[in-house]
Amino acid sequence: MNEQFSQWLDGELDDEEWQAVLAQAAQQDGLREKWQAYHLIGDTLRGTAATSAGFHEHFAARLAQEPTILAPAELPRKQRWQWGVSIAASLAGFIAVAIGAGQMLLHPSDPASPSMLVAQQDATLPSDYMQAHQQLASHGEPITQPVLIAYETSPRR
Amino acid sequence: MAQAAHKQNYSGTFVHQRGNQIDSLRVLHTADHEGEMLQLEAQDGTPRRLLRHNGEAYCILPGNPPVAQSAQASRRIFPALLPDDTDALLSNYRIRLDGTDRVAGQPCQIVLLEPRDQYRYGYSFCAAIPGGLMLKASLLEDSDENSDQFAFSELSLDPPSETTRRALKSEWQGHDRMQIMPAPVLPQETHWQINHVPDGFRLVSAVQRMMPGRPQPVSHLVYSDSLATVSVFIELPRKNVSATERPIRTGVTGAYIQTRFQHQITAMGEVPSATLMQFVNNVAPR
Repeated sequence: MNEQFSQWLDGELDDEEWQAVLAQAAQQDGLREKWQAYHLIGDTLRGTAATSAGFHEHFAARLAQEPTILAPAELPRKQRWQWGVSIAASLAGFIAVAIGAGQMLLHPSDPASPSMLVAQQDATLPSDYMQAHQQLASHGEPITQPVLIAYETSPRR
Repeated sequence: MAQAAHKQNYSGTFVHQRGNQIDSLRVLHTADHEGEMLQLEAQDGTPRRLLRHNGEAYCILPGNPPVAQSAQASRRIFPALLPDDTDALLSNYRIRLDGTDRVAGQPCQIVLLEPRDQYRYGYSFCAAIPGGLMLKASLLEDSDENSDQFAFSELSLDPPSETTRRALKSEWQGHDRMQIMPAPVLPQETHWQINHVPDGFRLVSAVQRMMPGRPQPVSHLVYSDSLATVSVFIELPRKNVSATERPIRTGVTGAYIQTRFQHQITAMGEVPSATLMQFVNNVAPR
């Protein structure tokens, strides 16, 4: 799967093929746990994992209700902005971080995403705006915690 | 105080309290002829570290390759919260000295930055005597619930040992980094402008950026009064996101969303709600 992910990033695999890979992989044991780990990494980078009470419960609930998480269908091929890894780089070791970070970007307004849950207990600030804003904010932000905005600049065919 | 955080050596632990959330971080900062080196280590939750050297930074999570964070590197991190440009600062805030205090065992001078108008919040700092390093910083908002403050709980101003310095440098050089690019920014100019910006705020950036889940780019305008920052996002209306009648708020960060000119306009920042509303209400196509 790592190799196919790498191919997808490089444009050697089109979206339909990649989705087939994901669908097939979803049948396999252990994938659930993998996704969980991926998300944990992404949320950790955003600093939400450590701060969210019941984080793992949210996770379980989210996974249970969300088959779409495996299908990045909402990004049509022409505008497929890709997660920011140097395409030429060896990807195997990096996938976890890339997907973990990318997932929220794929489903930014998914109300079940852990970071949104944190916000919703309060007043639901749009979390994707929050990330973009925090990139530039100077004070009053959780600047103690790295925030990851992870996608690459050039659209690829 | 602005310079001290860049030019001095310091190490210790500081606490960041934001609403009812408290995080503790270890910090190590060295400054020499090769520039600045900063290490931040979270003491709560998942172990994570941030290493920064001059303009570049990366974060390290256990069992993962380090992730480069060039976009974050320029961000101001406690105790280096003040801008270098004091002129802009002083045109929006009045400085008042307010007695002395003691933080992390060090005597310090309380410095208040009082807003010159109602468009921004005030800040309170405590600067070490002597040296001027910021030992404590708080945003002065109307209610205690929304407090946001940083304070050292333990601090040493001694230069780090040669061993520590070498270890930091070799770690900085030793990592293979995963390069993660900042969010894409498109070269086109934005088609929007804001006519009556609240006093003291000036446009620091106006870009169109691709954001997740949208086929169209989002216009992102950033205004700053040199301490407080306001982001204004303009995009076509989206499903599942509706305008808010009143501004919403999480801690000191507020947002106000309205639909105008068939677009969804959002202002977000660590400023009073009235400021956010003024930004949104004055957006117009160019």
